[in-house]
Amino acid sequence: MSGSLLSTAIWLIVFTAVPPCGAPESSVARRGNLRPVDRAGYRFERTPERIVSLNPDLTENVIALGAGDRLVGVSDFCPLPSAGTAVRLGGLQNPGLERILSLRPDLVLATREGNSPETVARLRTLGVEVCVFEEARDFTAYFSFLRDLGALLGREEAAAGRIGEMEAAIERVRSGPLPPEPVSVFVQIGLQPLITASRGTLIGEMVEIASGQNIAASLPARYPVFSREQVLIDDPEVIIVAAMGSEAAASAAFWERFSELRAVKKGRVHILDPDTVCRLGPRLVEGLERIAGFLAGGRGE
Amino acid sequence: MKRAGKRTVFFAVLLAALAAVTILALSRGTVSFSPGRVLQILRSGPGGPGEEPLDAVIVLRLRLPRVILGLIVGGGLAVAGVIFQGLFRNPLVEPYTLGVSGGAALGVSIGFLLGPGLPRFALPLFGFAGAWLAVSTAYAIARRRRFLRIPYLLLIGVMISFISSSLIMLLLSVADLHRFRAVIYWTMGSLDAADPFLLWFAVPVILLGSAAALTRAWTLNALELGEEGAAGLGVRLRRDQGRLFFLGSLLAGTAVAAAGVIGFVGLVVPHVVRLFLGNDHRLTLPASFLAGGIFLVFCDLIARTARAPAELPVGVVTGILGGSLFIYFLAAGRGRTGQ
Repeated sequence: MSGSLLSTAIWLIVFTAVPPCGAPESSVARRGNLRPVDRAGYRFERTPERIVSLNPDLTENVIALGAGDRLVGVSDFCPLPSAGTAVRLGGLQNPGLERILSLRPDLVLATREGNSPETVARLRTLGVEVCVFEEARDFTAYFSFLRDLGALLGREEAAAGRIGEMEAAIERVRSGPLPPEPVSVFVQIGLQPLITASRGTLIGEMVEIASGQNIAASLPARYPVFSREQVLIDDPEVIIVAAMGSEAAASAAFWERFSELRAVKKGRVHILDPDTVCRLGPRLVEGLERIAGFLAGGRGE
Repeated sequence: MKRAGKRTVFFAVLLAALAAVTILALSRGTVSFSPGRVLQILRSGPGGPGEEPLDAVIVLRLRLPRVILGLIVGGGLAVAGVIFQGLFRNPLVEPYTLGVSGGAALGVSIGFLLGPGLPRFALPLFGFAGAWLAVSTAYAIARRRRFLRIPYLLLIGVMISFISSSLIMLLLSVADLHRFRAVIYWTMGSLDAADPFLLWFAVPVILLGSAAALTRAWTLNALELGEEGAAGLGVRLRRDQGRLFFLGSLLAGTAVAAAGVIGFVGLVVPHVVRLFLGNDHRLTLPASFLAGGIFLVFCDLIARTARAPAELPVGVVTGILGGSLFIYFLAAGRGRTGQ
C-alpha cells in the first residue's frame, strides 16, 4: 500500500520536474505575463546586480556570460561561481524562501520544468522579481535562451559571442568529414531501465547534425524507456552511451554480451560524458564534436 | 468429491496457463516469432557467441531471463501475500504493508547516495538489506517473552513503512533529483534485468522459500482458528509465527531486491486463488505461486508490447489489470453464491 503511494509520489515529483537527461534545461525567457526582455515590451529598469539562480543550467550560463560575480544565491546542485559571494539555498523543489528574501535579490532565475510554480508564485507575492525560463530542447531554443539571458543581464555581447562560437562549431561539424550515408545510432541515456533519447532532445539533434539516424527518433516521449529487443533488431552501427563511472562500465559490459551487434563487433560502442550533451553550456560543442567523431568512424574507447 | 474435482480443474487450468503464457511471452515482443520457432530455439539451446541467429539471441538472452524473473518474482510475491494474510488474518495485508518495500527503497536510495562508484549488483543488495532491517525492527519491537504480538507487529510494520517513505522523501528533497533517477525507476519495478546476477540470486531463494512456506501450510491453516485455537492444535505461537513472518519477508524482500516495487500481485493473487480454492493453505500456497508468476509474466508482456518499442512500467499494468480482474472475480463470485 505505502509502496504504491511512495512510487506515485515519486512519479509525480520526477515527471513534473526532471527530464532523465541532465538537470532541467531551459530556454526562452517568460515572466508570467511579462517577458523580461525588451522585444516583449518589458525591460528591467536597471541591470540586476543581486541574482539568485534556482537551476544549475541557469547558473552555469550566468557564469558563462561573465555575470557569476553577481550571483548571491544558487541551488544546492548549481556550480558555485568562483567570483562573488553566492551561497547555497537548498534543493530545486524547496529552496528556502526566507533565505532567498534575506539575500535581497533584485532578480530570481528559475525554470518552468525544474522549479515548482508555487515557489515562483510565492516569491512574486513577496515582491521578488522572478524570471522563469523554459526548457531548451534544441540548439535554436538554447541560443534564444542565451540571447534573452544576455539581454536580461546586460551581457548581450557575451551572449552573441557564445552563440557565434557554437554556431561556428555546428557549421564545422556539418561541413566536416561526415559519413556519406546516414549512420544508424542508438543513444543510451540509462542502462536499467534502458532509456534512450528521441528527436526533440539536444542529443537527438546532435546525432542528426552529425548525419546519424537515431533509431528511437520517432518515439513520442523525449526520454522513453526502450526495448532491448528493438536494439538487437535494428542493429545500429553506433551505440552512444551517455554515462559516467560504474554506469558506463556496466553499460559497456552489457553491450559486450551481444557480440552479434554490428556496433559491438566493430568496436563502435562509445561512452560520452552526459554533461557534454545534457547540460546547457559551452561543453555542448564538445559533445557534438565527439558524436560527429563517433559517426565519422572513430574507434571505441 | 465435486469440490476435489473443481480443485483438480483449477490446477490443470493453472498449469496450462503457465505453459501458454510462457510460450506467448517468449514469442511476442517488438517482433513476434511463431511458437514453433520458439520451441525449436528452446530445444537447441544457446549457441556459441557470435553465431546465434538473431531470434535465438532475443528469445534466449532477453526474453527468457525476463520470463523466469517474472515467474519467480510474481510467485514469490503471491506466496508472501498468502503468508501475511494468513498470519495476520487480515485480507488487506500484502507483502509491502510491513515495510518491506519502504525499507528496500530506503536501502536502495542510501546505496545510491553512497556513491555511483558502487558495482551494479550492489543496489539490489542494499534493497534487500533495507527490507530486512525494516522487518527485523518491527519484529524486535513486537516481540515479548513468550508472544509475538501480531496486531502490534502489523501496526509497527505500517509505521516503519511510513517512516521509510518519509526518509526517502527527505533524501529526495535534499538530493539531486537527476542523480536519483536510478532509484526512482527502481521503485517503479521492472523485470528488465540487465544483470544476470539478479536471477542467480532470486531464483534459488524464492524457490526454496516458497517450498519452505508449503511445509508450514498446516500452521497457517491452524492459525485460521485464531491464536488460541492454533495453540490448542499444537502451534508454538511465537516460534511459528516468527518463522512465517521472516519467511514472508524473505520472499518479499528478495522479490523487491530483484525487480523493484511491483504492487498488487501480492495483494490480489491470493484473493483470487482463494475464491476458487477456499482457505486450505496446502492448496492456496502452490496455486498462488503459479498464479502470481503467470499474472506477472502476462502483465510484463503487456507492458513491453502495448507501446513497443517503448516500454511501460510493469507496476502500472499489474495495478490496472489486477484491480479490475479482482473486482470482476469478486462480483462474479458473489453472484454465483448468491451472497
